[in-house]
Amino acid sequence: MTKVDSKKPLVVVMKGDTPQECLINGLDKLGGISKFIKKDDVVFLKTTLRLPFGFPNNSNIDLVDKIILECKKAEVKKIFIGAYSSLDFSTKSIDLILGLSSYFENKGVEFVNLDERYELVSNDIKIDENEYSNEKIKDLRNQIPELILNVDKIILINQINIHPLFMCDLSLLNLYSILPPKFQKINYTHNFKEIVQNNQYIKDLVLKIIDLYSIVKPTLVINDIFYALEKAGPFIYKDSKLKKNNILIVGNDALATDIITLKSLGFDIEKNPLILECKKQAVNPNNFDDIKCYGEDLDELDLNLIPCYSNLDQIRAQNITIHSGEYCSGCYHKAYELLNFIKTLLPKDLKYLKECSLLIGLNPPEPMNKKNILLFGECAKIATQNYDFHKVSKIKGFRKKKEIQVQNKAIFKIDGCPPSLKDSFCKIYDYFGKKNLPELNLIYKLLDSLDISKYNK
Amino acid sequence: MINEKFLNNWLKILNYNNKINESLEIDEITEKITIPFTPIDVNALLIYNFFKYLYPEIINDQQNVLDIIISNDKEKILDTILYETKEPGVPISYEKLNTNIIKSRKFSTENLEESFFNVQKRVLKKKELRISHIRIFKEEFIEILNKYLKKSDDLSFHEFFISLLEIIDKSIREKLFFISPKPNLLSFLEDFLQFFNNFHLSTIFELLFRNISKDNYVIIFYSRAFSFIVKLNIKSTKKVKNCIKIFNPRDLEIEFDKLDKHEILKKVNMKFKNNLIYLIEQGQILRILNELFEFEFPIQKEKLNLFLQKLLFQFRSFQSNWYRHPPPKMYRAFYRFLIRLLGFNYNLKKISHWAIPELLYKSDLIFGMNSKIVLILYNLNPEKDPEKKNNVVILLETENNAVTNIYYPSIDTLEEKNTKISIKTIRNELSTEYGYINIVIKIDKFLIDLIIQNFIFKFTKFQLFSKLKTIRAIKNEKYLSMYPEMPIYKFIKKSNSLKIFKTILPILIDKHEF
Repeated sequence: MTKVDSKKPLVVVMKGDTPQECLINGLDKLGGISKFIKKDDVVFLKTTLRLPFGFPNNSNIDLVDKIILECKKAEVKKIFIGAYSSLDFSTKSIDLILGLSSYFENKGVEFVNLDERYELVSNDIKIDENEYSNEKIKDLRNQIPELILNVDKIILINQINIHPLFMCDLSLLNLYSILPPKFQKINYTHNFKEIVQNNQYIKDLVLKIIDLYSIVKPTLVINDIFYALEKAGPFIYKDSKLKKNNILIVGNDALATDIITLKSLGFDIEKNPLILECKKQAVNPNNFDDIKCYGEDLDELDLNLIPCYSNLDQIRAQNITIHSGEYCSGCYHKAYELLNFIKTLLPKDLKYLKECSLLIGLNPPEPMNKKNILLFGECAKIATQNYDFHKVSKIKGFRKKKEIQVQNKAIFKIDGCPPSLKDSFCKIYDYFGKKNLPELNLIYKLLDSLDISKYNK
Repeated sequence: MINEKFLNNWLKILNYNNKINESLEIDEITEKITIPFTPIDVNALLIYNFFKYLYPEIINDQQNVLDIIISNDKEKILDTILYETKEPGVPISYEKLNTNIIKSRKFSTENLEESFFNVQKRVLKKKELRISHIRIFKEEFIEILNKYLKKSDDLSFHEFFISLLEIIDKSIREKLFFISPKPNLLSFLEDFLQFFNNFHLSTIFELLFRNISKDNYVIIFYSRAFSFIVKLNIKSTKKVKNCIKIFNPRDLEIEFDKLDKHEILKKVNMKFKNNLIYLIEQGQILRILNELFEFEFPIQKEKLNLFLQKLLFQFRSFQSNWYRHPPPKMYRAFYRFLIRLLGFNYNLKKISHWAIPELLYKSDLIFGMNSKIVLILYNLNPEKDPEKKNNVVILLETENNAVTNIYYPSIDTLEEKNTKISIKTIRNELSTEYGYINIVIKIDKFLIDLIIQNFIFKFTKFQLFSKLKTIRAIKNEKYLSMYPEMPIYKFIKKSNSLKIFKTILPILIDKHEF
């Protein structure tokens, strides 16, 4: 066991044949699990639980099992495990599909149904006024489930995949999903033009993530890049490729672990909006030299993950033409998810869509085809109000034929700034109808049969 | 050494091959000879054509071959036989060579490529003949073959196929024969049997044979160069000789060259009444088989996807790549129209050959790209069928979209009454040993048979009630249960059978306008 005692954050980059082997060796380098967990501690394992699907949408359960085993060796009092999903799935519905609670129950761990059992901290809870000087942070604290705030230690097990906004799924982003989905969302109701021009969405999201990090700090962070999705992510999409890197990154500080992870994967940390903002706000560690890094030599790793498509046109969903103007990261993120999900889940429906034009952002180019125009988001709706496609010419009359201008009905608008994925699918389904969308129809029926609405508050 | 009857027959074949090669009048050849390794008698010309057209496609398309028989310990060379071929694949002469032609120290089955190169050099030097490939048989292989050949005349259709597949299975697993350069077929079978360690070729045949409808079939394997007709009477328990008959079109006095495929079917139908007659393009089958033999294990899902697309395209290519007499009713526009009025679009010419394999990608979402799936093949009625009492447990481990490992764990007896709890326990138990198990699926053999019968073999028949019966069986926990329950399973369990059929059918069949 390497004796490590330093005020600088510690991160270990460990190579091995299995993630479990990397973890054990990594913990060993950090001084063993006892450095982080004490006897009779109550521990919360925050995993990646994005969707009710398999790995690497979610954390590697075999790795989670190993952590559980280590915690038990440290004689902890109780272990909880859980997370909120990225989309609108409740923890209960994810559990129903993946059977996690019975699995973890067998291991003596409680899978927490965050939606049902644990209520949020009520507003009248006593908050140390000195601790949270900022009103915004006080509000944010109130949104975190009580259970998470009350545990002694939080261990973050983060599955790294490529991400459209932050290069890859950082642990700080993972930590953000201790907030219920409704509080994770950022929506705007006015000043759409300014939001686009200032790229306000990502700025607000980054601030919120950093604020949350100032409230909750995990004791141990595991960034699992042993396997990672590249090219398209963070969910399994049709274009996703799973890359085996044989590396696990373990650290005692989330930001430091993220910086090392980004470096290991060949990303430029100076271009990452989250790291940049942390630097601006002087969140420690302020630079790379402030981190003590053990294990593999980062310069020799050469893991370079293929990043996500930065341009929506590159996603190439059949029969959907993208007409993009100036758009913000919010619309880009949601359109990226929508197009990738359509391409992955609805390959057959795409063939039936005929020609469809998706207009996004401010001042998008006018489509040549006036049929099936999808206005994505408030900015596209406002910016295209005076476009010609709103009117189409129609010939009327039996004897004396006359050309008149009528309202184009082949337009459908997806509201919201940014629009939600759920609304987008609903609008598409309503517009094209179930006969043209047999696969989406089946997906809706599958969701109905799961009684998801019953569990989603 | 090899069975005398087999050897005599083999020499006869070579003799006829030689005669045909020397351009003797083909019509003069009327004598029947036996297809090697089978008890089936056919016209000598047919065997010549098998060698000429099929051997180069499947084994080797170059000339001259050397057979080498070695001792079981691989130390001694017992026999060497040289076959000269004027046309690739068609042997015309049989010459025993002195075993000294091969230097033992330069010959090893462990290093076949180099051994082949040395043997080729030696034969070229001594006989001035360049061999294209060598076939090496262990003494044990000859013994097994002899045993089989002794009884092969008395076997039924079913027994014959099982015995033949068992020999192939054993010979490949125990490395009783080798071919160098190795043909794709052999590589595929070796990899397949190694990968599916506990599976036997005969098991797959059993599964298909059990479910195929026991009609009389006539299958025309058509190609411009060489067509042949196989008559199958698989219902019969008689000897193979009576169950399978293979004809040259000339034997039936039908000139295929002058007829289109519909006329061929009609003419063949006049010869074999009360039979289902299929005409299949030989080229298409060979293309599909060659694609299959090129698979590498573990099979990547992308390759499997492409292969399935091609396979399904063959199914939908009725009256272009395959024909049937009488044509299935489902292909008649009026019949289809009536079914469409009932709300079902069951147009088999529009099978979604490109969308169905895409469902494989969706399984990645549910199970993930790395997963462990346990399948319990369960027989619920062992009293009815005491031979099939055993339950088979298979654990499939996938990594990066490919099945990388198959395990056969043992489990305690399944509780019939409380299957749900029982498979939940099995999941937890197996997870301790093998790591996180994504899902445990218990499926009864009865349901597998029902699905194969109603959705694969009877795919040309609409038969709504038998299809609904299969869906009802899927809903019954006695026949199918899983933990955790997949969304599609929950949907099937909760919905009305007709609604399920109507929801899923538009994904399997492309839209079609009358």
